[in-house]
Amino acid sequence: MTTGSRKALRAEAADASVLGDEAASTGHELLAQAHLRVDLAIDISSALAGSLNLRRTVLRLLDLITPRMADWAMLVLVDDADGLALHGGADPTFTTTTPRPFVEGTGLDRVLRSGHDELLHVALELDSTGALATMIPNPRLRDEAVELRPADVLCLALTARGSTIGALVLIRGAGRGFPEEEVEFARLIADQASMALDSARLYEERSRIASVLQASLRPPVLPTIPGARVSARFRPAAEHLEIGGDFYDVHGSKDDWLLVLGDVCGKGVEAAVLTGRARQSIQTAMHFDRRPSAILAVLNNVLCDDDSSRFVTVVCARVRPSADGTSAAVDIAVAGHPPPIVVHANGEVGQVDVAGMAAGVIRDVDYTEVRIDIASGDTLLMFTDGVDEARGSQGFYGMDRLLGMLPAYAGAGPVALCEAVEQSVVEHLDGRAHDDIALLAVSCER
Amino acid sequence: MDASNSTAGRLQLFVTEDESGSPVVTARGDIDITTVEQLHASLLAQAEAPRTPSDIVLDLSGVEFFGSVALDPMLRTRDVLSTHQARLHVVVTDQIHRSLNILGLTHLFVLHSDLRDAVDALRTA
Amino acid sequence: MTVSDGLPTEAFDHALSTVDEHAAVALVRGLLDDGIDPLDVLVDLIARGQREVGERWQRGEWTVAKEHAATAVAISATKEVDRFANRVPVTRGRVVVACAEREWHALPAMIVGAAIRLHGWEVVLLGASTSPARLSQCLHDVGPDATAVSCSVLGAMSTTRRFIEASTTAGIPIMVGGSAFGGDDRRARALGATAWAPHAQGAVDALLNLPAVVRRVPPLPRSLMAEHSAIEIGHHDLVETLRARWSATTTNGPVTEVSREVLHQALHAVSVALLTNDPRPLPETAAWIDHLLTARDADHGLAAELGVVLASTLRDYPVAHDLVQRHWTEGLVPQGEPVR
Repeated sequence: MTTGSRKALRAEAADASVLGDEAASTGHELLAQAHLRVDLAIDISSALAGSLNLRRTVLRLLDLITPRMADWAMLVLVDDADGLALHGGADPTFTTTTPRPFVEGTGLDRVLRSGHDELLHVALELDSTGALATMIPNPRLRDEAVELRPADVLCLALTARGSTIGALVLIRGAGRGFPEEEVEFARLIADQASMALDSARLYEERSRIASVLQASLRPPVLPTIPGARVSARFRPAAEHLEIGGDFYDVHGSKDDWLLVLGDVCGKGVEAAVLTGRARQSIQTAMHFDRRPSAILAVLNNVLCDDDSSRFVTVVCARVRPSADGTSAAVDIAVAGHPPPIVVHANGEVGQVDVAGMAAGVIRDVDYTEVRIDIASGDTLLMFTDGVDEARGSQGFYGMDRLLGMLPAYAGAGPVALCEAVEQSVVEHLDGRAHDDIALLAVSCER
Repeated sequence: MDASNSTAGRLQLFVTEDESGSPVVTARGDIDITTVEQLHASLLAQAEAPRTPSDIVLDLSGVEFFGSVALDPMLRTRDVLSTHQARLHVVVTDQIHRSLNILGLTHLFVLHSDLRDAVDALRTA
Repeated sequence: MTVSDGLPTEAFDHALSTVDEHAAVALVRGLLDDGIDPLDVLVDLIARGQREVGERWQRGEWTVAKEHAATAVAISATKEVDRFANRVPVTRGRVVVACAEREWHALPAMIVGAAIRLHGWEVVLLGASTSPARLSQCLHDVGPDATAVSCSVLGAMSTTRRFIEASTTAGIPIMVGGSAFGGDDRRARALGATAWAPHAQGAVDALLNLPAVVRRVPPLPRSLMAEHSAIEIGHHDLVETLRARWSATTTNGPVTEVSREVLHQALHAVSVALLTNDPRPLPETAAWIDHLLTARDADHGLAAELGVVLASTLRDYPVAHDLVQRHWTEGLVPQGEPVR
């Protein structure tokens, strides 16, 4: 059945086919066939439930239908763009498309429009391709079917939520056909398949929308800063969503860079949407005044004017590396956020002394700024409270533990530092749920 | 790995009245994203209750985990009370005081280190 | 300059040990521009160099921080090969490559991902410490032709099994590899993986022979799993008990820095032995611990003593207890000298 270039079917122990022999009439044989059908129905049921992915669902279905229900199967799905996607045949992974107008007037078209199944007889002595041609619009697939010398072609409509989303074409070879009860059984399977395929399509549609939106809300790829190195880690509370209420951004050019890290109260999608707004406001504010204190003041007013009652905590650092990369001037302002930690090359660790009100609570707040200088080998670490509030079996991770683990990574650079902190926190959590965790670190390049 | 071992805690809330009839909302346990709605309901019910406008005391001395989500209901309550020239008194632990400091929101409430002080403050108000 | 098969291994190792990212990346870029096979660069230069990094920590030459920093450089070098690989047209299907939770060594997965990409597969790389939920979501969204999981630490084996459950439930074949699986496919088969690959090239070959659809894996033997679950859940308490009973951790000494790591590894070895029904992780870990301790001038015999303490601590778990008693010291010879 398969050639070297095609994927092998599942190599599991051959399942006895439910193909009925027309001559089987003893109660014993009928019972045996009934058992096989039930087994197949159960297998299809559990297999279809296992994946929401359309492509994988199609594969799964085809893999189960052949050889247990038919010798050859083709799945047709109606495309949005008025085309038909054809899947399967001898190779379950085969896929091709056909424009809808091509199948106008064919048997397949009839089934798709009417939603009614059709069983066509294939006259082997005469033109054996007639019935096949009207159900199989692709030459390669048609040739495969012809080779099997089938007696019947069964075309089942796949209908879900009131519309026919496709069709399933089944063929049995060697002159065997589809007796009445086999057709009924196939109809049952087709119903199950329709629901699963329809769900997968819905999921895919929604997924695509979500995926596009998620992409815009995901943390950005960090630019390269001449004379400095920057690294970040992000671990949202809902890890599988890949977005959350913590955010960071790095903007600038040449020797003037703005690093921000923030936390929107709350987590999940709603919080993520607000991070998008906060990031945009900050980016806009930067154009007018690059001082962190000014940027936070603008962000604050923008958020206050917004209907949403959520506030945001932010740390904003303006990093200006020296020409030779041996030091950098850093201006820092915070809005309700824990101030950054400096890990000096010599192992000394200290938290910057700066404070300010959370943004989005009261209008027209003044923010203070402090200036620190970092030298080669020093790292400035910004973090969100998901770090110190991480709760494991031994209580909260806490600021003390964080400050205590940092000296060992003095001089190791921002990448190693962020990775080590994340690892330390996640190990502390030991699988428990947590709030969004974000880290952003910058150091001077030699 | 095991979602049932999560940090979602339990929150106990009860409301009493001090001698002058001002409501005292006492919270014990964790205020996080799963329990904050309870706090919200409780506080706002007191703030919007039809009675002679009075200050409210929120006793957080028994709170083990104070998530920043707690600020939402606290700020909202403060806003409602301020329309009646009333204030929200909050009994805080050192930990909570520190959190409020970092958030820069300490001046929006009247903070006390124990319930006694808060109730006394209500009396002299 | 020492070269191995024409590769500047000494220069690369030097870049790792001096944490010189620019030098490492420039070296790799130069080799690729010269037409050197990118797979060779991945395997014979970067992976080799990274093994050396791990060994230096094990020998006590490097601190954990230095190991992290050097690893970051190796990762940058791998990303350079990745950039090159992304120019190869996609002619085959899609593969999701992931590291299990508690697997902080993303580098092996990155190397396998790059190798697969070089052969025309589209690769979706999930980074270090991926949870089963995240993998599952990704499988629904991406619908790949295969999943590939790298597992280099014993502690990540449980999650690897969950990945196998997630992938096979979705009907997607799953290939596993990494040093935690040892030198043969026994553990991989026990966990129900579709295929096992010992290294990057093996992964590329195995991909071509995977079935299109697989069945969901059957559950693991209940007797083993009961003890396995209990030991996983009680992990922290068991570590504390071991710490209180083992002479190396009751006194302050050269072992202190690695003691936490050692105790965790010992319990993970027990976990994996139960999970995969393969006792070999026990003597292998015993030998590793012995090596680690003697490199730090600790007393000989400490590793053997840990085995005794471990067995007695696991007295409530008959299968685990028995495994430790019978197999722990196989990796050690008298006087604690490890078998080479």
